[in-house]
Amino acid sequence: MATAVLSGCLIVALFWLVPGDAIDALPNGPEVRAQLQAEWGIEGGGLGRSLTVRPGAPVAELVGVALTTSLSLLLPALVLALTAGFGAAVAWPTGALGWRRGLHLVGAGASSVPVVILALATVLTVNAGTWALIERGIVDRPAWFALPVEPGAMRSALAILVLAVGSSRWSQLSAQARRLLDELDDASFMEAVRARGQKTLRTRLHHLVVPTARLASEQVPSCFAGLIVVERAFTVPGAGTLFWQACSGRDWPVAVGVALGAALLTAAARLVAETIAVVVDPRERERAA
Amino acid sequence: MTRPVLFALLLLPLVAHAGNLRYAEDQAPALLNPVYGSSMAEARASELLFEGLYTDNQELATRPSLAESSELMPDRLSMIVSLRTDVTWHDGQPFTADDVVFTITAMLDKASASTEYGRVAWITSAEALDAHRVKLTFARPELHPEDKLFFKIVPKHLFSGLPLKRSDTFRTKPVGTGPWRLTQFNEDNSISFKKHGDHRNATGIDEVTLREVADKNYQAKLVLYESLEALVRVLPRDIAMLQNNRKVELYPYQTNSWWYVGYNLNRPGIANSQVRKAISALVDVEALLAPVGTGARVSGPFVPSSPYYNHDVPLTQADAEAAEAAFVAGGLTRIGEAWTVAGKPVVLTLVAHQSLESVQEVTINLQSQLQTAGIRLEVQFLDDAAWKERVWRNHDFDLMLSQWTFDRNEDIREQFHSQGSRNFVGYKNPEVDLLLDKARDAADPFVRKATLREMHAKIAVDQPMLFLWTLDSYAALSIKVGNVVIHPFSFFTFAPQWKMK
Amino acid sequence: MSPRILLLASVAVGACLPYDALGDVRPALADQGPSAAHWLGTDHLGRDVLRRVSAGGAAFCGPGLGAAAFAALGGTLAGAAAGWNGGALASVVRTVLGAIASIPSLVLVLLCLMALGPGPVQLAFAGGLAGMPALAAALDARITSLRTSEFVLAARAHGIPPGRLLWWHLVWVNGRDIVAREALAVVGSVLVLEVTLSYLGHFGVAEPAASWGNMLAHGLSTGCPNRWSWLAPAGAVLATGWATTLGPVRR
Repeated sequence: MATAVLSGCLIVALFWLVPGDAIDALPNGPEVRAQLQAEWGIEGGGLGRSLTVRPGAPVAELVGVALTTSLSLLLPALVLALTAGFGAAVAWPTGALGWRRGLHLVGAGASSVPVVILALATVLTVNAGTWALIERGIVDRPAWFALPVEPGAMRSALAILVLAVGSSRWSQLSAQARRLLDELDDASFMEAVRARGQKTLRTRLHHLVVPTARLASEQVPSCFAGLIVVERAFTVPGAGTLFWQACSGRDWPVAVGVALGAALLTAAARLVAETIAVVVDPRERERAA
Repeated sequence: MTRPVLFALLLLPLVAHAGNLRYAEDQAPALLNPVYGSSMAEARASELLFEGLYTDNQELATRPSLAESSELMPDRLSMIVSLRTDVTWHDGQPFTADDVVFTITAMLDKASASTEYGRVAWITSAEALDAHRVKLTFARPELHPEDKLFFKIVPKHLFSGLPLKRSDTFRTKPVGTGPWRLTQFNEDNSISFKKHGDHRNATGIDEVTLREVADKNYQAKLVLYESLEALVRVLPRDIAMLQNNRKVELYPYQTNSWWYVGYNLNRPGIANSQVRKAISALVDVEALLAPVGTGARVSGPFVPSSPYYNHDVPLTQADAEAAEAAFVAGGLTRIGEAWTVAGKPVVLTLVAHQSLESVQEVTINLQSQLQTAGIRLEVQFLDDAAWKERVWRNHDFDLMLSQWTFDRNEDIREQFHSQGSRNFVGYKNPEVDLLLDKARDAADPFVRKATLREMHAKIAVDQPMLFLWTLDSYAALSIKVGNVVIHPFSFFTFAPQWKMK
Repeated sequence: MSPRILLLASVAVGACLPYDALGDVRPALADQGPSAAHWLGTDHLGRDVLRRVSAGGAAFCGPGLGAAAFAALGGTLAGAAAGWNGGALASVVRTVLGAIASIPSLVLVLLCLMALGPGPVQLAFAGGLAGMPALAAALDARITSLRTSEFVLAARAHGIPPGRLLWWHLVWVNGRDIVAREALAVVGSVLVLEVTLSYLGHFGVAEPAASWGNMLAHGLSTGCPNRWSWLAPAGAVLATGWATTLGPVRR
């Protein structure tokens, strides 16, 4: 809770330093400054309603809707990144050559591409390629193509893939996953399981729950940062797009709301991870007690 | 049975778009209340939904819209406007004189903080004589007041009185008298409009959809991909690409906008006319324009096609020798490669509005030209809010690069009058003030023309700005849209006559 | 020498070569393809693409190294303070750093740059601020785990001053690999930030200074006739990004 409050204070302090305010974002702002200051309470730090993005709309409502849209990309991207990370850890290359090494290098290379390049390249390539096929009559125009009427599964799927690959620092994620698996294999209780002739999968899965939850919570801030770029490239009206619009229009209640929402999301992810730890692992319960 | 159904489903996106004109904006309008319009996106959307008392015909001459006729009193201090009786709002309520009075009063009301105050400041009062007649009283005599009655009318019955607020629910549930009405704000920030069946003019387009596409380059591609039918302004770099496409038609239109470099006359060094003359003589304006696009150079505060443009005023030319002489006359000294004042190299700060397309190309070229000549220029790009703070409020700059855009009235008073609210460069010339006052009060259009041309000549001598150019503008529309005429300022004024083929 | 080091060194060398950003402007030579005079052609203002790509490394090297230094300094102080002292001081430091870390890095950097204005120094500060919590947390964990180890207890028993024990034995001898690894990650993150900020708006390194971000942003948004004007900086970004993030598997 203290973390969330502090991060909120930091965000507000930074925003107050930004030159210009919401009144400056209006064409007649300077002429009606005194009046709008009183109405909006800008000097007094009024909060709660959007000033320029959606004038008068409650910030909580705006941010809530936008965050929900963003979560529909963020959560699947997290799951995808973790799955790919652990998958790579299981198929970790054992030598300098071989298909595992090649796959690992390709994956690591792809994930180290800045998300902005990945997003733009994906949009440009998919659109250009599909249009070439449409013009040649090879395919009919798909419903998801280039600014569809409905959001569509294809656009969401591409956005999730780009977010997962570009924002999750996959190579570090897979290395951490590999380390977890190795530590698990070397643990004394795993030796005991093997000595008893039991299958190790269930024990492994049980002991991976807590570190996986913690890994996932660590990925939330970087995935959220990638959202700003991905949403712009794929024209998704989520929290990233809202944040950018709020910054451009100096709509500081909305910008602070989005940034706070992101911080709270991170805090919530950590809280969930720690709660899982306490519930699943008796050692954590004792420590907490 | 499955195959035809699947085939039909694939065709559905195509069928659904028949009669639907889709166009893009960089950012969807935040509100659709013309009393608070603050962006061209909002102005264009308002053009679909609302109407004014008067509007333009295709020759850009004034014609009645919601007004039927008007009578200007002999003293020219008031007029009586007779309104059409066959107009209803989108919700079915009748349009009356009370709506006109309410709109003007709201725009004049200081507590409402309308962005349109400047458009009605010349009206002192509006009074409903009966249900369809309005009397307007003016602050000073007007010759053609109908030319200034283009602002949009809003319905009185949907507001709970004054003052209006930007946050009123009307902003997202607008009701107008225009040829289209709002269908809905969509989740992806797009806005759908549908033909208003009861409008007196039949439109050839059933639906209009505004899509938000932040990336300007992507907008042009979407026209090629047939995901959009209209692009309001084609960037110069995309013209060749769209020109070569047989499914797209380019429509040129002339706006009253011109680029300029403004000198901050409040700064002692810049206030020296020799220094300004020298800087202007260092700049090769044609070379600045070349990478940006096509257009025409200007020598003053009007576009060459304007009746007020003085074609006898020569364009500034790059002349290194004249610049050197002017710098010396201005008290600067050349030490090595750099011009100096009191032994210190001259360093100027230029602020540029970052939303201007190609602004980076222009500023880099300008920097390069001045650096070659021995003047260091530091550039800062500002977004809209930072621009208002630095330029409008604090006048904190040496030079500024921007553009002005004017409607048909080309009223430049606020920019060049010493008391003008947009006179950020701090220009003061009593003779120009008198000429501006004379032009404003002139009853005879020829007198107004001659006065403004004389003013153009005086401003060119004083050089509060280095006038650059006006750019050619092109709109791109799909060939599916026929009968297209573009309004240079509002874009959609003649859209009711467009037809989807 | 590993390919990574070689690549980063070549970037640093290119960044140090003199480059007159304004003197290179020649509109008459705009958008030309590769030639003997201009190996990768010219951009929309007639500037040599190869020279700009080589000079573009400075836009990320400078702020990147600055951010790394700031993160290293601040993170080391904070991590050492929290790890060595424990108790209330550690709680306060960890809470403050946790607050910074819970703000997505791009959001934090964007707000900093909007408040301070764009520029290499500002980018270095913002990037360092965003990278500091991770470095501090890693060092904190290392020092905490070693604080009660036998060699530390033995050192105390031998009368080694706490300051020397902390800064030399714990931070330098046992913690410098963490600081170096995390600082390198900060350098890589500044590269990504600069490219992203150039794409989003005018918050990256501003023209006429050469930066891979502004070259890429312009090329991708305008589709320049000379494709090398954006392919070359894209390649530089990818290669340098891989060099700063890929590495040997660590157990």
